[in-house]
Amino acid sequence: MSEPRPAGRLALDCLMIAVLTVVALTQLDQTYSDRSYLVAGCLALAVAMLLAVFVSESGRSVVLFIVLAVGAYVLLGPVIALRSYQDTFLPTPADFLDVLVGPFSGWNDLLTIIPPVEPTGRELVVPYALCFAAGATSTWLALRTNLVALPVLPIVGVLSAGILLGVQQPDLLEIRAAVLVVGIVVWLAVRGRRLQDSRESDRAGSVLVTTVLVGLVCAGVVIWLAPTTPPQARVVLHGRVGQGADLSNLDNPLSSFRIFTRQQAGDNNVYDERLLRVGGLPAGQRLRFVALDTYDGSTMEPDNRTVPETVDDLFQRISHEVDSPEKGSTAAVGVRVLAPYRSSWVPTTGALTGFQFVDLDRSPQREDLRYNPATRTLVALKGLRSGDDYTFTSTLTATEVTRAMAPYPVGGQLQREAAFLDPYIKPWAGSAMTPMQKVYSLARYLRKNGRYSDGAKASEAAVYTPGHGEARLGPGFIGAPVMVGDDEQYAAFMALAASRLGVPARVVVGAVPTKAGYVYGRNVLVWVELRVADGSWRTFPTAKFMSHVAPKDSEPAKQPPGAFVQGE
Amino acid sequence: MRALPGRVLRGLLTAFRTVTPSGRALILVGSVASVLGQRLSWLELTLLARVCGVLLVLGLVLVLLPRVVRTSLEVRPLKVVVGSTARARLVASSGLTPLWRVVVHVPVAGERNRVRLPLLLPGRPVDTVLDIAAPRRGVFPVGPVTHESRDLLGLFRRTSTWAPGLELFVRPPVVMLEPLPVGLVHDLEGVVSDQLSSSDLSFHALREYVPGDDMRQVHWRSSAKADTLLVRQYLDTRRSHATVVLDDSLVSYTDRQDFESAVAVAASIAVRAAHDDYELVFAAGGQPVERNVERALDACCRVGLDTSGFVEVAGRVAAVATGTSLVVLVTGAHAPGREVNLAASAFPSDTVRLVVRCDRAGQSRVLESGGLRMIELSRIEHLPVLLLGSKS
Repeated sequence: MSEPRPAGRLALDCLMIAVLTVVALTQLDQTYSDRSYLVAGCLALAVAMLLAVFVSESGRSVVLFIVLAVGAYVLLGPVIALRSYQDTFLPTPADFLDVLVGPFSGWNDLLTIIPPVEPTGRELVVPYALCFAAGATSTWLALRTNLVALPVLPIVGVLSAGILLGVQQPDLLEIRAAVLVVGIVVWLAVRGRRLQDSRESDRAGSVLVTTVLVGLVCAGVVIWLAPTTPPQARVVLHGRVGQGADLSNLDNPLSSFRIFTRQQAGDNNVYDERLLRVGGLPAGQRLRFVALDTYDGSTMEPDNRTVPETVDDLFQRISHEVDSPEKGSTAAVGVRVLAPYRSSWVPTTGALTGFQFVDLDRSPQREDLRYNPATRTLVALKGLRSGDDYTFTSTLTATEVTRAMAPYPVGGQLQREAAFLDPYIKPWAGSAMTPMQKVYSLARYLRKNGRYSDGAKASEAAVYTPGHGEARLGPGFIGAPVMVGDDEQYAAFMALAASRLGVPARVVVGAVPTKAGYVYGRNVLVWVELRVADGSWRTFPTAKFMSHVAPKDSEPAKQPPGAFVQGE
Repeated sequence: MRALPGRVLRGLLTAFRTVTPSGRALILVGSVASVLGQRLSWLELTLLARVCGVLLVLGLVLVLLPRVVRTSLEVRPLKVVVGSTARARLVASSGLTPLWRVVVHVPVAGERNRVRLPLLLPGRPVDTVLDIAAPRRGVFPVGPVTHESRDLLGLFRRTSTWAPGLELFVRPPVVMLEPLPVGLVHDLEGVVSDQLSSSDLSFHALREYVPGDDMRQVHWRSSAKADTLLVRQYLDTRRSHATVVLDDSLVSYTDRQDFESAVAVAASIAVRAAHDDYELVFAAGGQPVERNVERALDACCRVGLDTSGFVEVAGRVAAVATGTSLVVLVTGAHAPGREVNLAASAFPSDTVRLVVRCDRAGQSRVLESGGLRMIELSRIEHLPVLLLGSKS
């Protein structure tokens, strides 16, 4: 750099770096629950850029710059990223260590919590480090080299890191993309033009003209080229890292469904007990306890990674807020947990967007909370107890399903462990109906030919046993001369059969509160959710497929399935 | 066929040069964005890749669009003296479509020279005149007229030549001299001069006798017919043959300015010799030996300080300049006397041999040393006087 650099060039380079990096950083807007990440990032960017400009313009070597940059990073990190001055006036050695280790471990903290994350500890080290590194390298390269593209790459790095750590469906995606694309292309063109013009002693105004022209052209092209990739295909790290919570020792309200039905008085039966008191739930809205979508041949259970083609099907920690891409009306619900409710599953509704224990001292319980956005199931790993009252907000989405809807497209057979059902539902599988029509037809067949018994009568208790294993659902239900069962058998069979017929389905245990807002044991319901073409899960209530007729002693045999399908 | 790989390589290199640094950067960033955007389904990078792609394609189309232009470049005069101005005239008209604000490059003497042409219309030639100053002696290339097609963003550029280049000869300043000392070697092969003579070999006409005419030239037969005395009139045939040798060795001169004076001296003598109808042999250092004064002056434009030895040059010239009557050796202050003597002795001793040493720091004077006449010249304006002095 023999000739002095015009101040305009320096200003333009710095402006472009600052704007592009900040815009790229806003990718993390939904990853954090507040904008403190942006403050930390901008401060880091400013420090790094000032340092680079100062060292570069005074003509010092890159080695000195690296030493100064690392020093500034470590010294200012505790103040900017950890905000340690809030607790103690001086940062501790542990703080410096956190700032150094943070970039390598901090992203793990970010990814094992469902966004947005509350920046209380080391979480801000990630944006701090990203912006510091990008600002320092990009500014240094822009000022010290004549290479056109190189200074852009650190910004692309921030963008990539932001996308990876961000949510899958961020707000303002198109606008942010357009600003970044236009900015990057304009900067490349101006930098390249500058190189050519330095040999040609050309006019300064042409750079401005170029900028405007390029901006207009790009804006046109950006508008013209609409995005074509489906949002679910966007690769982010959320959901790809970690295994989710271990759910193996939790209660299964489907297997123990008979405690909610009218039985002979027993220790556990809660048929007449108040389980929950709910306020704020819109009328008719179902309260969901747990969605069960994995079948191992004996029981249906919730699990991690059970919903194909989504990345948010993990039970992960949450903070006070939960990011949800769903659109719909909002519900704010308060729930009082009463003693008879002995379960780990935390009743919610819709797509959770916020959760708060009423008693603020319940932080241990908060640490136990795990949420699975794909199955919309919230669990307290050590159990929900009386007094763990909570409030939550959620987005309510459409729940209706009709016969005309198309199911979510699936590749291959679902629920392999339920293949034993295939011979029984062969008439439907072989018919010319659409998958959804098959499900509706099968539901009608069950409702017309089935009989209801929860084994409450002493005479029936030994015959119509609980459970939804292979023997109970196959020869003991659909294959029996008279199909008898309660909500558990009907729902489990319906969900598994629908899955085998090509409509993704899962069983949900939940409740509809009384008008007074109480949930008694008798209000607890089981239903099936079917996944339709847009990816959403729709409620398929037991009324569609469950009979309420009690079995008689001399029951005529059920209608043969083949003949029923013929008649459809 | 052996040249094929080389040609392919050169073609690729040309293609690579067509892409400017911006273009290369856009290709790099676009490729990275394309791969990442495709793999990871990131809208931002997919969009970036597509925008880069569209801009590159648009730029390429703009650059490759042919621009049919008829251009011609002429320089008048093509040969000028130091300090004067030549005019380059660029005539251009577009072939098919009107062209607006076309920029062409007309390099002059190695300096880039951007010219923005006015609106070009088909079939309407437009003149653009460039003044070219000639501050120093030499041969300066003018043109070729090239046009650089560029797209809006400067991603590509393609250079096409619209008119071939010319050479502008800037000649040394020449001083007017008195007629050169005449070498009088009558010869059958001599050149007929326009000076009438009473006795020579080239018969011109008969004229009436004037008292004092040589009786031997009376043409008796014609006199008898005409009844008056007629004498034969002849034209002088002279073999006046001047040889000018300019020393161009670096060591002979104090500085460049002395050398420029020496070139001017050599050119002046050559011009005078041509004017006097001398046969000329001119050698400007290592340049080829010229016999034509125009070409000799062109050689004066081309010559520069070199390492060729004065003695070799003189020897080479002496071998071709047989029968010369006047030899002028032009050199500088630092040429060793021995070399100058050696160079002079390459020519026969019966010729008039003159050495001109150009030395700004010295005095202008005429010396006689060892059968050589030596002119030491401090300013070129003194040359006419000193030559006159040396003639006597």
